[in-house]
Amino acid sequence: MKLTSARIFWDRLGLFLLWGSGLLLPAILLFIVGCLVWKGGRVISWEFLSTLPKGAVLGAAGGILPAIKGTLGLIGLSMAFAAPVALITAVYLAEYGYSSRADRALYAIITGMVGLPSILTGMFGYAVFVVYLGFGLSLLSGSLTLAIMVFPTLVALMRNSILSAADKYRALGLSLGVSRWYLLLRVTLPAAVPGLVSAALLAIGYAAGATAPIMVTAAVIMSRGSIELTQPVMALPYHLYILFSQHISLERAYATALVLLGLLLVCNIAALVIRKMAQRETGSL
Amino acid sequence: MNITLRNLNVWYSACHILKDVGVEFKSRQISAIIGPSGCGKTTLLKSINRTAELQPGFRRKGDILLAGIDLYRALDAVTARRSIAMVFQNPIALPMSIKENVLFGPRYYGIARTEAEAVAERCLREVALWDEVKDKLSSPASNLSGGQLQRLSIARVLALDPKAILFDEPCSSLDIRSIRQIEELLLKLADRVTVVIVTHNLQQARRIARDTALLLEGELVEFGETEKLLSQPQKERSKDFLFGQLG
Ligand SMILES: Nc1ncnc2c1ncn2[C@@H]1O[C@H](COP(=O)(O)OP(=O)(O)OP(=O)(O)O)[C@@H](O)[C@H]1O
Ligand SMILES: [Mg+2]
Repeated sequence: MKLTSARIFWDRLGLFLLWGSGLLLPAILLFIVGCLVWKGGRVISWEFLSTLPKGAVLGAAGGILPAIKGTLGLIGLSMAFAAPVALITAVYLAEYGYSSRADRALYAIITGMVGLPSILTGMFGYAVFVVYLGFGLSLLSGSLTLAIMVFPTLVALMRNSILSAADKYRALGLSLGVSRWYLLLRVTLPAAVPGLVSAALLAIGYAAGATAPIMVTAAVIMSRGSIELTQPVMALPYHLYILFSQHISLERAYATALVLLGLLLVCNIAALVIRKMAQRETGSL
Repeated sequence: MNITLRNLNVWYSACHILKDVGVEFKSRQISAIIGPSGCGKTTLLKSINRTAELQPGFRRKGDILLAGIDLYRALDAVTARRSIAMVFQNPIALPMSIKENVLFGPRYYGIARTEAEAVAERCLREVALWDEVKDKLSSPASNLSGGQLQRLSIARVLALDPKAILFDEPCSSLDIRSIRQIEELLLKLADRVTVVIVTHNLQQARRIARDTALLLEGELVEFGETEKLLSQPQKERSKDFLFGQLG
């Protein structure tokens, strides 16, 4: 075939579009980070990270330490609630999920819940944990609410990664005359670790940024930064929201957002390390 | 120990895959199964290894006996699979070290810590892999080459101490040298266990198998001494297949 100039044009255009769409995502990310650094970078200091909020209007000066602690507490506790149960549910669904109608219904319900607006989860948390169970506006109520919010996502993602590991090794593993449990513990779960870690990471990001559910269950404008189950906490996204919506300090809002982003970056790096270690251990991809 | 099939019928859902197969694979020798693609060879091996039943829709009628013991009635699946081990067509590394791949079965059945090393070494030596891997026993098995991985798969089933081993086209993706290596290994193994091998290569059947079974569309068309079956097939259908294969 002859290379006409029209062909060359279309080739170039196709290539350009391919590259362009591939670069779009990093470009957006870079833009967001750049924007945050430019607008809020100057505020970031050791003092900002390590002291309590101050000022005539709270948050106009001082730091955000209680919010960092609160968010870490909410993330840690909600993952501690959600991850083990999600893992067990995912294993059950992956191993037995297609054997009965009830199991299929369970999976359908869980995946259906993935898209539930988080404010609904928040209202549920408020009604059940804050009021009915009497936990009040507290770290416990907030963590439980966040746990419920991330649970369906966690289950769906964990199930998929377990299922793909199980599919790959089930026939071979069982042909060697071992039980399903042994296969699960020795092969399927270790091979699924990278996927499980990714799932947890996604859930952490989701929980760290969620504002609506904690607004009604856990977060307050000011706390002294003590982390107690029965006490309310400050949280980065909520603090950010207040700074922003009450026009307290736009610059400090951007700086707070930057800290939240940094926190997630740290989680990402940790996940990367765990995944790499798991891959080195098992030799799987 | 002989493997005896009596009127074995297998279905996957509505598909009748194996039809009234009756055959005896004798102890201490290699028997080959040949036949065109899709005729049910893998299904036959998996039925004997009791992994076919893991497929949804599997149904079976007829008996499979190991030394007179009914595999489906007298044994549970786990024990049956261990007694009649199977090596699959595409070797897969379990996601763990080379040594742990070999010890995968024994660790489940329970093996003394002090014995583990020795078992791994014995099995790896038996498949002539020891010298190649002895310095990297704890590195992931997925780094091995295709031929090495196939030998590792065999070491893995040898560690189960099976009475019989079924091989599903073990040489299909290997080079000549690896093929020779595997064939020699099979001949050696046949001294103490029953060996059944599915092969697409009639010359390979000729080289190593005393008996050969010809399977066409799920039916056992002929069974007998390899040389005789390949040179003087009795049925028209067999002739068509064999002469088609030989070209
Ligand atoms: N899980 C399954 N469900 C339904 N049908 C199946 C299943 N597995 C295999 N079959 C069918 O059973 C028949 C025999 O398959 P089998 O894999 O035993 O053939 P084979 O002789 O090993 O072929 P090849 O030489 O290509 O490996 C084929 O028609 C295949 O489509
Ligand atoms: Mg096959």
